[in-house]
Amino acid sequence: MPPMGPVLIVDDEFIISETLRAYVEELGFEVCGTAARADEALALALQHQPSLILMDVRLNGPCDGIDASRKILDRLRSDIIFVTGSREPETLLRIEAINPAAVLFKPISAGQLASAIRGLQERG
Amino acid sequence: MLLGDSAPVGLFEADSDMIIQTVNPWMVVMTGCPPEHLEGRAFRSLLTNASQVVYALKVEAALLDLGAVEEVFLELDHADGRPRAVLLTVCSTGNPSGTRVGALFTATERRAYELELIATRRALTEKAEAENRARLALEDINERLSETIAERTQALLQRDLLLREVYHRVKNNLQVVDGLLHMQSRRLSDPEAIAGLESLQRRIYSLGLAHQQLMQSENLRTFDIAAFLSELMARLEEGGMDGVRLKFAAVPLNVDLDFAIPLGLLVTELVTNALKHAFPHGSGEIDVTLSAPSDAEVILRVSDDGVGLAADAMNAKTGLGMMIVRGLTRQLGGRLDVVPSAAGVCWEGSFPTPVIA
Repeated sequence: MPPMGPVLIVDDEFIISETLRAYVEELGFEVCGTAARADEALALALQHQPSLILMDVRLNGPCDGIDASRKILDRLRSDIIFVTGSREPETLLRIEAINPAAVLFKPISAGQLASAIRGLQERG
Repeated sequence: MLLGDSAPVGLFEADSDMIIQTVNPWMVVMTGCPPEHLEGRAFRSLLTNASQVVYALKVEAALLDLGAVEEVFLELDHADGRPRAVLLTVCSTGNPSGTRVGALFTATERRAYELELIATRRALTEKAEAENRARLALEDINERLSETIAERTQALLQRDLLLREVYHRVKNNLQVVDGLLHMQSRRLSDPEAIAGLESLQRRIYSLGLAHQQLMQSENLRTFDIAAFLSELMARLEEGGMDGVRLKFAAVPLNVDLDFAIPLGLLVTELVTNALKHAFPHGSGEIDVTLSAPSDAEVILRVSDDGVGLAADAMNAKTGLGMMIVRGLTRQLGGRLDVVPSAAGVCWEGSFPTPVIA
């Protein structure tokens, strides 16, 4: 795959964020950090200016991943791929309003993530 | 002959205290008493007990005030025991001694008519009251029904929410297991061990996918197996080999977890098996179809155009994959065999259509 800037992973489950880290690293990209809370995600994003953020909806703390994305996109031009288990219509509407690069539903495989990132790179 | 002797009206003369002085013949007919029993008697004593009360209240008061009464309804206590309904009219004779003249008109018809009116009015009132009571009861029932419906709806929403949450967690936990397996396999160097963990990951993924379908389903119990298998096939293809295409076709079929999980695992094993053994040269096609030739039977076919294997050799296989395949076929109450095909291997399974209670 063509090179890409660092990737930030935001998920409140350690094992899942580590799995996503493994998938991303196997694709040859660098992971600049993992966050479990919206405020951590914002701080890490501002610090590393990632090209891509893999974002879960449910996070620790008062704000969810959609809130975190909105705050990040106010300041940065990162692409965001939602990786979530939530399929409630109201959640999907809120996600759609952010205009994410892709939405993947758990359980996801390495291949699914690879195709989503490939799609993102092909669109430029 | 005086007119009063033959008129069908009871006439009497009374003193100022309404003591009867003289009567006409019709008074005898109306009371059943001879004249000598009437004359000298208080008019009031000719009445039934109930009418004596009416008389005291209405007639005596009016006579004192106005000296006359008109058409007061009373009942005479007839000698034969059957009261006679009459209307009493009394006026003064103008005599200074205060004598009066009274007339009694038969009012049987009128009384019957009145009674009928009263009865009708009472019936109407009762009917209106009954209707009102029924309406109030209905309103009460409706109100309680609305409350019950609201409570049940709330309970159902709550249940749906909880179920979705449970499926979400199951799915999430399966993703965690998948992640653990992936991380573990990265730390292994033995290709066989890595392959084993990858097989496990595929099986776990199939379970997670079934829960994902369930979470999306409206009734939280059943979903279309075709959509589920289609997603599963996409995953198997992407984890497979670049030169091998996976084709898939299925009839829509509503199933629950009891059917979807074993069938999903069966498809996973058979497709993985084909990927592993059928294409040593790295190219070919695997075709999976699910059909329902009758309401009672579902047919699964997994065929490839690879190098093939003798049916005996296929049946003799003893790996974990084949053990799972045989066990799940038994669990589904069906059968699964290698059937002859032009190229490669073709598995055909027949399963009873799941009955959703």
